[in-house]
Amino acid sequence: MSLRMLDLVFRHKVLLIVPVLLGLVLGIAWFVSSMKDEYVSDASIKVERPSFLPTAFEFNPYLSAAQNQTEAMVELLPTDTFSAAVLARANDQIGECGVPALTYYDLLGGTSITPAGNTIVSLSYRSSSRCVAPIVVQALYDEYTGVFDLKVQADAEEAVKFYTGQLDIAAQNQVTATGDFRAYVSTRPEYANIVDITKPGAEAIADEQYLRLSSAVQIYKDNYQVTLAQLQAAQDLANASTSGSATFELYDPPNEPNLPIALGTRAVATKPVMGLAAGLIVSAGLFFVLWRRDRTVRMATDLNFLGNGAPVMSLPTLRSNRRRWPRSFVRLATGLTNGMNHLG
Amino acid sequence: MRAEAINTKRLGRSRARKPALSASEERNQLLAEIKDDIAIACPEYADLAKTLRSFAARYLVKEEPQGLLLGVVSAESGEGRTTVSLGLAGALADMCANVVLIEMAAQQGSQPSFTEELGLSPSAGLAGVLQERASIEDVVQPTAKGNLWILPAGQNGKHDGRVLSPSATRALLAKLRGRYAVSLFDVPAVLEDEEAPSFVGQLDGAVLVVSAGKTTVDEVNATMALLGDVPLRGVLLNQVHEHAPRWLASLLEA
Repeated sequence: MSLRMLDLVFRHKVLLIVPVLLGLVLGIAWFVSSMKDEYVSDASIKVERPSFLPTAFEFNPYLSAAQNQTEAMVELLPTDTFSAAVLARANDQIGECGVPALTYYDLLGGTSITPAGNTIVSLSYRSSSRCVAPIVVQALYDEYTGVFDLKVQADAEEAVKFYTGQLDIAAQNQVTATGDFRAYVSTRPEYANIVDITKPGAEAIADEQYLRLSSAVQIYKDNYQVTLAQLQAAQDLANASTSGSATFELYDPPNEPNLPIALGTRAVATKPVMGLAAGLIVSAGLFFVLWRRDRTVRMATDLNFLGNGAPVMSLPTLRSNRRRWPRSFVRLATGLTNGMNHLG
Repeated sequence: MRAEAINTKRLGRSRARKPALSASEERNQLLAEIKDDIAIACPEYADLAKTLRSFAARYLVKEEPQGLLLGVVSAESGEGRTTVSLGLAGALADMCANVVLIEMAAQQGSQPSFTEELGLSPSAGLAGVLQERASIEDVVQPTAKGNLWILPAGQNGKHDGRVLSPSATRALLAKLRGRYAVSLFDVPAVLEDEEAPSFVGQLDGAVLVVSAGKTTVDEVNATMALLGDVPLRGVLLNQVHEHAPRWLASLLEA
């Protein structure tokens, strides 16, 4: 900044400061006029994904169950179908609250979905009505439950198909291993009395082939049992009418809030700061215009362009208590100061 | 405080008498009342005089001058040229044998000439000398300083081709050069009076008065172009008002 710019700022200080103050005042007025109590109702949802479900579909194994679930819920919320279903549920009930029906933008603007740990998802809704907030949270939860129940059921049915195939393979492997083992033992009559490798003393047998075949029988047998258990769990999930309860469970139901939420610093400051910023922009624009329009000489350095070495000396403005004088008296005073009068 | 009291009291008194007095009578009366207090009432005027003395000593009369002809010029009227001329003439009188201030600029509009403002006697003035109706000795008027004289514009002070005829002008300048150590001309505004540049061209130098916040860079350029080769002895930037606090300005300069 040059001295000339500084001088301009102070010369027009009132003109430059008025837009800033006006912007601030308007920003505060805007905040006050739009200020209203807001209520938040929330619900905590426990989400767990059964380990037997396949992980190939829409599931990031590097995120927690809550994070995966949150992503899925946030993704679903702005879709027309889902939001319309939630609004239909909520608007059916909020008539009792004496407020207008919610819109798509109300729903999106007020809803917040965040993971609160590894398995808990927090679902909340902010509204100017304490009555509406819990209704919307409940509607959201119900709609999410419906959607994710179907999803889990679909996953479970996929899992049943998958584990049925796996069980067939496991059974086939078990049969093959048992056949191989029996064939080998039949060629070794001395092993007849310890056919059952689970009996004490079987480990004493030093025949490597015998041990390999008998271990294979045991492994395939165990594998079969595990696969069978997973298949049964998947079948149970797929057949259950409320399968969501296993993966999407409401821990803390939404309640009607007693007190409005406290306004944060950001909420309080945003509008006044916006007004202030607008005022500053206007002031900067005024400054620019004044700067560009002022072609007058104001200080000695403005005469540097003369370039002929002529000395420049500044004379101050004669002011203060002479304001009461007619303008022509400035000359009179100058003349008198220099002894120019016929009365001397 | 005392200065304020003096001003308020005396101006108030002069206003109270206004219906009974003519404008010139009122002016003369006020002049008589405040002349002794002016340096106290108006310390800034004393500062102005001091600054102009410094300017004159450094840039106008480094050695004892004889027959120096100087013009005080400005781009437009209303830039404080006449006020500066008055101050500069007083300053020069403090350091030279004798000085004459020649009023050339006919004041525009209702603003009176400094001859009237200072309460000097009306005379044929410069116009009379140029028209050979009077001699310089007849029309110059003394001041309280003793070695400072004033040559008013005269009753027919408006400039036309007849008033500023080349031969009469040359003769006037020659007389002034021989009679006074310094002759200071309050020249009409250069951009308003087309004869002013050629007149200044006959002088030994010029002092340019620029009004801060009023005179534009373009006007200064145009004035300099019209003055051509006239030696510019200095520029007085008048009516400077520093709006920014001095401490802040000095911070920026540092």
